[in-house]
Amino acid sequence: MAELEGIYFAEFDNTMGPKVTYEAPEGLINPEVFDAISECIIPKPWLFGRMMSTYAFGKTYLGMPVNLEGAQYERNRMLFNVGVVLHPSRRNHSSEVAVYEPVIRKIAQTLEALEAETCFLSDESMKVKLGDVLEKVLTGLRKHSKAVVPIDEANILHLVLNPRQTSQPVPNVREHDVPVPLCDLRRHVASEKDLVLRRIYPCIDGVRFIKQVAEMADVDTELAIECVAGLVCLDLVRLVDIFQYSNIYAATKDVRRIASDPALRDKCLATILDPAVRKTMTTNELFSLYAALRPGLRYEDFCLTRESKLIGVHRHRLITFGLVNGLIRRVLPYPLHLPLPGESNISQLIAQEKMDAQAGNQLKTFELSLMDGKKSLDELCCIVRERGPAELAEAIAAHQRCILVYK
Amino acid sequence: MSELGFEEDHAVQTMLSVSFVYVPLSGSPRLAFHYPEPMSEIKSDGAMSDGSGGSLGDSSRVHSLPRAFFADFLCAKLQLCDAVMDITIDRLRFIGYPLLLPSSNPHSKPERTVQHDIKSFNVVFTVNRSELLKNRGPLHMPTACSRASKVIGIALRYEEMRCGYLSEQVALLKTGSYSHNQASSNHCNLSMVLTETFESLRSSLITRVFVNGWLEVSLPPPYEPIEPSDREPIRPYQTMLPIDSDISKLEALLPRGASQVVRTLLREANPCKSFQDLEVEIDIPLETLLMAAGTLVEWHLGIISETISKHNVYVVSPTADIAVGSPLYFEFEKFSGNVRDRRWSLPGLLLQFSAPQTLEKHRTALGGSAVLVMEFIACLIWLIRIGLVIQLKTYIHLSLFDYSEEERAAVLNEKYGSRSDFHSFLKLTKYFDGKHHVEDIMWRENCTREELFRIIDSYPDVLTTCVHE
Repeated sequence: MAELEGIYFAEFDNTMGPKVTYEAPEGLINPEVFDAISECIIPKPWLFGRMMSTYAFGKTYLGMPVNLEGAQYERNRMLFNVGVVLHPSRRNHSSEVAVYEPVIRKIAQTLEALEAETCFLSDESMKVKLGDVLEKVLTGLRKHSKAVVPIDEANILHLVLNPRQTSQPVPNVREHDVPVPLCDLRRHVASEKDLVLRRIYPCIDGVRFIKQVAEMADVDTELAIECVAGLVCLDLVRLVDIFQYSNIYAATKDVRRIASDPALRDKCLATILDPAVRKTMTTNELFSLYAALRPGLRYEDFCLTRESKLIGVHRHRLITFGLVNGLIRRVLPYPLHLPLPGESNISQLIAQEKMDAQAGNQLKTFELSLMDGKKSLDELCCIVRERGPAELAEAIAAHQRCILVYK
Repeated sequence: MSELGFEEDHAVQTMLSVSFVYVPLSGSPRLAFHYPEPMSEIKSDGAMSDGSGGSLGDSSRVHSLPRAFFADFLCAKLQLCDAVMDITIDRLRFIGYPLLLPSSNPHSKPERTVQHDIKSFNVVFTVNRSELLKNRGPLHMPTACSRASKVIGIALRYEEMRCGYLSEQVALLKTGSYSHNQASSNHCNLSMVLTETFESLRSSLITRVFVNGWLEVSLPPPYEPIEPSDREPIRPYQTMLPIDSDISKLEALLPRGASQVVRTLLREANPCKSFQDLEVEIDIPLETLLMAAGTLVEWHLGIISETISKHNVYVVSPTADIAVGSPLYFEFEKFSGNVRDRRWSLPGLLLQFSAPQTLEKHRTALGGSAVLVMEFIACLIWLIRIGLVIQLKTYIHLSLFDYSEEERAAVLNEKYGSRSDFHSFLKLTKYFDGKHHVEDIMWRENCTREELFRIIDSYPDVLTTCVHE
């Protein structure tokens, strides 16, 4: 993350023009630098309300110019900018700077609201508190990546820097994903006020998929998806596929970590061994289980040939642990419905469909329309919900123009 | 879209535009050139089309910014000239390198004095920040933009100082009627240089432009140069795959000074022949070949791949986009137009590579027809080049994890010490760490596949094989 050098509050002074009124620490922006970049800090009207940063003299100045209009102001407007000075490593400038954007936006919006409610910025006796506020925000963000700073009796500024929030894309959570808790969720979310979260977290067990979680908690699926996405962002849960014995799993190049990382191995053994049946397992045995998973090998066949080695091993958890830790990956089947050559001829299409129907083919037009190569068989089953993957896979195999591609 | 175009396609969303702004000797800053949207589409008034609340994230809306914005904002103040300019506004990022023109020297000889109309100028690239944040665009893109702006700018400044090139070109741009046709009387070289620079950054290919028709400027590649220490070593058993099957297209992209060996390798590279094979065939020392291959990889004109052999196993890549109707299908149609017997369709091939099996098994399934096998291999090369398939390799682990090194040696010695091949086995154990695949071990120990597997198969209790990419 970029190094936070300081925080400033700049404004347009009716007699002096643009100036830095408060800064933490003192002397953060020297007058020559400010003169060079003042157009980015107190800009032209079309940039009001926009998050802006400029790189000058080795530092990045990130802020949001806010324009307030009203007859009470000398020029019918008040213009201020609250921002941070960052010393970024040049490697991934965009995401490093973006981490600070929500914080800046929140401070700017809070100040705007305070001005509207109590004339916080236009009343000099109140505005003077800002120097202290900025100081506390800087200390908090630097030391703990968060700050809780009271501004007056009624308003408290809550700020959190979350590197994941912007440096990584919002996870694409789908209703057939299975959320696996990475820690004791109760400890982390018990104090949460989010009602959806409070209802769904007891249903997250690493087995149920989101649609089931939502149904069990009696929550709208969309809300549950949103809520789980939040948990993924906070690294409290990770998403895996629905477990089936007919699934194919394959070892990744990280599989050797299970042998080289003792902490990971111990965690794995604690998770997958049934203490009532089996107490120990050697690293060699554990490694050889994961290493044997490969494309083309169904998990049911894998288990059949290793019955003795799997005694006392929780077979579902073996897979879930491997997936969550990147030791293995799922090889997913994707149904593809291939268009006929010269598919525009509709009568030809209908004729073909009739032929397929006569051949005892069970796939419905709706199901065929979903087989575009973008949805996995799991996803399709979740949408169709009438039959399981095995049955659907069978119908696909029987259909002349459908194939299953594994990837 | 060409085969080269896959990178181009995703970079399209990252690189949005290039503009040329300058401060005249007298008067306010001006926007002289903007591409891809023509100048006429740039708004001349000061109001923002979407109101102040909207977000400037939409790539189609760069040109909705007022002309005054480009001119005022992107012409840096004098004290910020001769340094990187990097400004973000909402989801747009403007990257340039403003340069100052030295004021004309009154002591210079009269015949060398050129009338300059420009105080400072800036070549500015607009980048879609959302794409950078999503990590979809190359992270190195912003640095490439500032470097391109700098090298082009320095060349422009040189020509301006030498012969007033910029002043003349800007005057031509001001008229609004200019052409890229070099034969035309109103040919505008500056607009051509800027357009070509932008297209080069967008296509992720190494290129050069000629400022004023003669001054060659090599543009920095818009990808991160790989540090020599981070480079994966290229092995003699590997091969190089040119990134496009149309070699003449790639040859045109080579810099003028590219060595003859690089050109020969580009022409002679064959995915079924390793560098070792090529060394014999084209009579170029192995070391030189490997260096040339490294150069081509560095220029993004070639990729290093394992040599195609009957033992190789390929499967569909987990990241392959196989959606029906994706541009890949169209690309495949274009490619397979050259294949005589249209036996292979893209879905058919994907099905072939859905289950892992050796190429030898694929060949047997094809019934031994040499023509069919050749076509199948041609399709496979296409799939590898596009990244639709990945190769599964076999790694071997000495599965005595719970022992120390001494204990391990003692265990092995006690259990197998009397065997005749024990010494050969012991020599190989250093490769049984899961980091060396079978082909690598064969090359390092100069042994055949049969010899290696004979040993692996005779120590099943202590060896675990693992197959992954």
